[in-house]
Amino acid sequence: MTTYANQTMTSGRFLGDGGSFQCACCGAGLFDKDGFCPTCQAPTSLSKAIADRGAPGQFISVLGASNAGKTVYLGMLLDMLTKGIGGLRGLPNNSLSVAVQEQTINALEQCQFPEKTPNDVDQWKWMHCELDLGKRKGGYFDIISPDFAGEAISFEMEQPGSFPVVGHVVKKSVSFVLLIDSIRVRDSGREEDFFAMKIASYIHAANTKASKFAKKKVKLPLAIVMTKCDSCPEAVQDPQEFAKANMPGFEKYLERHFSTFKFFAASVVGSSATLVDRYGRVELIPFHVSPRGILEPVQWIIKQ
Amino acid sequence: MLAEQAIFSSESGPSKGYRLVAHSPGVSQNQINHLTQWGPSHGSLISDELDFESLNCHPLDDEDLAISRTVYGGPEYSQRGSFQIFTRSILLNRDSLEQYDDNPWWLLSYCRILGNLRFDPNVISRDTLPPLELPDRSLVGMPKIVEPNCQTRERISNCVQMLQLGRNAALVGECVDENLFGYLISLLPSQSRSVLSFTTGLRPSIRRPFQLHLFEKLTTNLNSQIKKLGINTVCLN
Repeated sequence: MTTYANQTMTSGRFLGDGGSFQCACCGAGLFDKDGFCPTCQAPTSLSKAIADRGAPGQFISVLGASNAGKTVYLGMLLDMLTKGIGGLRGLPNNSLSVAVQEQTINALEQCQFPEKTPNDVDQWKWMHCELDLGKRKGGYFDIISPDFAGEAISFEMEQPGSFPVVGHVVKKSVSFVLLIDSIRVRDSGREEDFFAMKIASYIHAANTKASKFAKKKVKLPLAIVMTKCDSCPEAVQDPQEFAKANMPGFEKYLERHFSTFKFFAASVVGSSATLVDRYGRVELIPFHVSPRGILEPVQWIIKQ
Repeated sequence: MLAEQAIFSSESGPSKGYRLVAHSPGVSQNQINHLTQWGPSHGSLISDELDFESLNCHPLDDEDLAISRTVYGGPEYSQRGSFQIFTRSILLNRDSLEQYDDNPWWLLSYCRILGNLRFDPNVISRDTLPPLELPDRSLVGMPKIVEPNCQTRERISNCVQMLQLGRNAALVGECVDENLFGYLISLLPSQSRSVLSFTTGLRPSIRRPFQLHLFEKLTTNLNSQIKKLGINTVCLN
């Protein structure tokens, strides 16, 4: 007896949808404007927005360990750019971008920090904003920066290909912002030093060819931002000296392998306290928002 | 039969965040990579209820599979006020399912009764777990399946057809319970049962391509995620 089953053909789908476009991260051909790239798992809506603008965006990788402050930094950065603080004005280009800002500002307004970024790539927020540079640098500068989960960066460094989107974005980036928790640098020995060296060597490997010129320095600008400086004033006075004293391996690695780097200190809150509830959950409560050092790394990167 | 076990959760040690925090010696690097990919992190459970659990089954490679239970654990280390997500997995060869009628759901339920998938906060501080000794066959016999009503049977059959055609499905309804799920599995041919991946409570994600999700109800957020991932919905209510 012959049995039959219905199978929906999907190959003809794109013919009615207006054509294909390229993934902004890996260059794969895409048709579905509301899904994820099958190669690198980046959201196709982001790639569609970039394709519709007609000009390729500039990727800036914001990297750091879990709990370094990537979500807060990106959200606050976008909020300040939207307000035009510091002479830089930027506008979010799509809803994914607004979500970054919304998540951070809503949480801070309720005296909370945003929730931990999950490892699920489809849950990540992506900042995509158009910077108005006025008469400088041709007028406009599109920046795209995904809010990576810290564990994803760690996994991708240990097992390349485990989070392909991380690798593709790092390779495509024109500059990097590396966030380092200044409190952990001060209090946790050499852990942060070793992790920062791992990230720096990952960036170096992704941006230099494996050839006899492998010792070539990376020319792409790298801004190293010591975060949470409201609780670590030692990092504010001279971030580079602070890094030299507490992260000697990382500092030496940068001097050897990067030609353009600078240290910054940043914080978002003026003061905070620790709350413990009846379940034993520990929560850091920000008392008030007082951003410092958020725009300076981006301003420096644009100047490079 | 001997089985390996592993725990995926968050820790504050040198490797901060969600990762495989402990495993038995027989877990290979390839299996560690698969467990890391499938491992649920913050926000992966679809309910905020502290006693919520998700029972899951997914492949590791062509020969092995992992059955697991995901629950809320102790306070998360990063001072963001949340609970950690704790997943305890048992790794075994597909051939081990023969004595359980090739039914991973049956074995999963049995392991849960035995306490092999319980949450244990002390285990996170140990890198190495001992291998597990599981019974070769269930000592309580095969569970009795009660056939649902005609309408539900038809919808379950639609769901089974989708799975047979290689399409991922979400079964939605307040009446989705162990009996109904057991009935669905019994409709699958033997060779399809041992390769079926399913979850009863994890959020759909591109990194966890479960063939079958079970939900009591669909929120707007969940519905949107399901559509983005191309998962077909079968509603029982």
